[in-house]
Amino acid sequence: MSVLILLVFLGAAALAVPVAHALLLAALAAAATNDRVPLDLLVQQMVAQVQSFPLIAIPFFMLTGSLMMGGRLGQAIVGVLTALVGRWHGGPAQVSVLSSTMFGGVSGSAVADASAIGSLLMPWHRRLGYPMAFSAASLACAATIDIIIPPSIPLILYALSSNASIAALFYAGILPGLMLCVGFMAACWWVGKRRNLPRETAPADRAKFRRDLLLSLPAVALPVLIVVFLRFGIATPTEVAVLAALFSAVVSALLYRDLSLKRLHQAILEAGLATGVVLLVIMASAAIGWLLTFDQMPQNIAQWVQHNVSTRWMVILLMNVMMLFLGMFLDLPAAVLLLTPVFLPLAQAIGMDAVQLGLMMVVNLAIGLYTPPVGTTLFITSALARVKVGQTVRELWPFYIVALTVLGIVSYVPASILR
Amino acid sequence: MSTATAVVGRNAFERAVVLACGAVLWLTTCVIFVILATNTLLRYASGSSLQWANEVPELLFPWLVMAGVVLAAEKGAHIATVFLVDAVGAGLRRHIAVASWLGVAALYAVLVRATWGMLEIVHDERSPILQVPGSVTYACVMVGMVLIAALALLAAWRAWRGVRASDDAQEGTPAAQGSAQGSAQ
Repeated sequence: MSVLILLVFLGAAALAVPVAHALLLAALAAAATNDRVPLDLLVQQMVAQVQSFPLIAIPFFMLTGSLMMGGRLGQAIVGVLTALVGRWHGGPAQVSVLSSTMFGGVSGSAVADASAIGSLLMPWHRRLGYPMAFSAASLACAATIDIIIPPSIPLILYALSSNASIAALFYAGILPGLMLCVGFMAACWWVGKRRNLPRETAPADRAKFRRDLLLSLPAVALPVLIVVFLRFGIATPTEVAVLAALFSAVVSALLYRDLSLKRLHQAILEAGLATGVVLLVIMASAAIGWLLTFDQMPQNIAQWVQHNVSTRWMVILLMNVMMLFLGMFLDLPAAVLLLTPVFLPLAQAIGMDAVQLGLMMVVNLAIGLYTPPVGTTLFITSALARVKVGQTVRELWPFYIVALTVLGIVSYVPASILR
Repeated sequence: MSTATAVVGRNAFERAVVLACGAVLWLTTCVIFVILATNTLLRYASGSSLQWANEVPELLFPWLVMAGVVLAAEKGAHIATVFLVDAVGAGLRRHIAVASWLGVAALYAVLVRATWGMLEIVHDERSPILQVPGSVTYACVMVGMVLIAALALLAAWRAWRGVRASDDAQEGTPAAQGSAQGSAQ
């Protein structure tokens, strides 16, 4: 049955059927060919996902991101960072990396990050005469920091699938996110210096810098508040998401003074639509996950690995290779939901805790977002930079080295995860 | 994608779907927001909380989700992989688009039928405090599936005629509808 599911899913996805529909088609094919799988059970699995209280956090983290990123905050952050690092070697690309890291604290979505920051930075890069393929490559990678720095929607999904604590995962995501930020900045600096890429030359306006710095502070404060609220049990993740949305609305209304009814309407629709996209994948993945468990696929894979792969580091390597491969083709939320039940028993067998596995999984699958053939941030930033995807891919290799190094650290050095 | 060149406006059905989904999103988001924010603040201000404060958001969440799912379907925002279909000729692409959309419509028709059959069973399941029947949530999901199926049929019809709605990001296959989206990633 698992093979049939895989074949139908791949076939439908290849024919350009959206991932969620393709997963459901695969589930339906499995139910149609197996008498022991009633269709009602699949529907039950789907409906159960929309009755999950923790998942209510998703639309409110989305709303927080829409409210904060759509207004003056984005311009303020870019203004401060340009004044700080725009003159360094690779400075313009480093601004992309730092902006993504800061936006990571207000949004849990790499795609939203790539679109918002790309729209702000690409015109400036073009004006400087920056190589746009490199600009697209740096942002495609940097945007994925967004889903590692709290709040992170993939980490919420992982928590639900693994029963790990959302608070622990959010806290653990800080260090790998910062490692990626420093690594990507170093890569930008190195490429900028080696190729003598253009830098910002206009003199900094001190008054504007101070103003932008003040306006940027909420973006730094929000992730800190989220982590503190969760770590000290002040509120549940869902309540924290609602409070984050409240914070962003208050800040937009009082500090940025850019919260109009039209913007609020737009933000609610954007958040609702994005929630619909993610939740349909979650609903479909739940149906598939149930079928795979029914078919004992996770147990079979775990047994096979335990019998054939003896050492801990080989098991971790195997999991990473599988995730890197699947991440190139699978939608990230679907990959998290489908792979967690498969890898969790393996991780437990080698003494890796669920939090470390979650971080390893998200850092790993994030690489798939800027890897062809299905790289969402890669496509977005290439489109914004008006370059071919192939040109962007050629600029990615320093970032791959950084990302794989951080993945290696997260996978093999448990101390790299804050607890 | 180049199978379709003509662009047509949204029809009355699509406009109604967009309007209804927008209204549901507004209502559910605001109500859930107010209840959860109030409950959290109340807990710290007075040490007590509303008993039904978790139940109402749980009951409203499926409506928020399904409104988002249908709106995403209407706007072509569901994530898909297009590179293989983009590599084939325009004529074949059109046929793939029609077949894919019909497949999606059939899928949801089957799921609607299965959900319909469960309504009576889950009607007896009541929420703990407000005693709302479980069939309400299932009916909400079923209505969403009906609308997705209807939109898929419309998309198949448009792909067959070689036209696309003015709001679609791209035209043609289900793939074309949302290759660059996916806000959770």
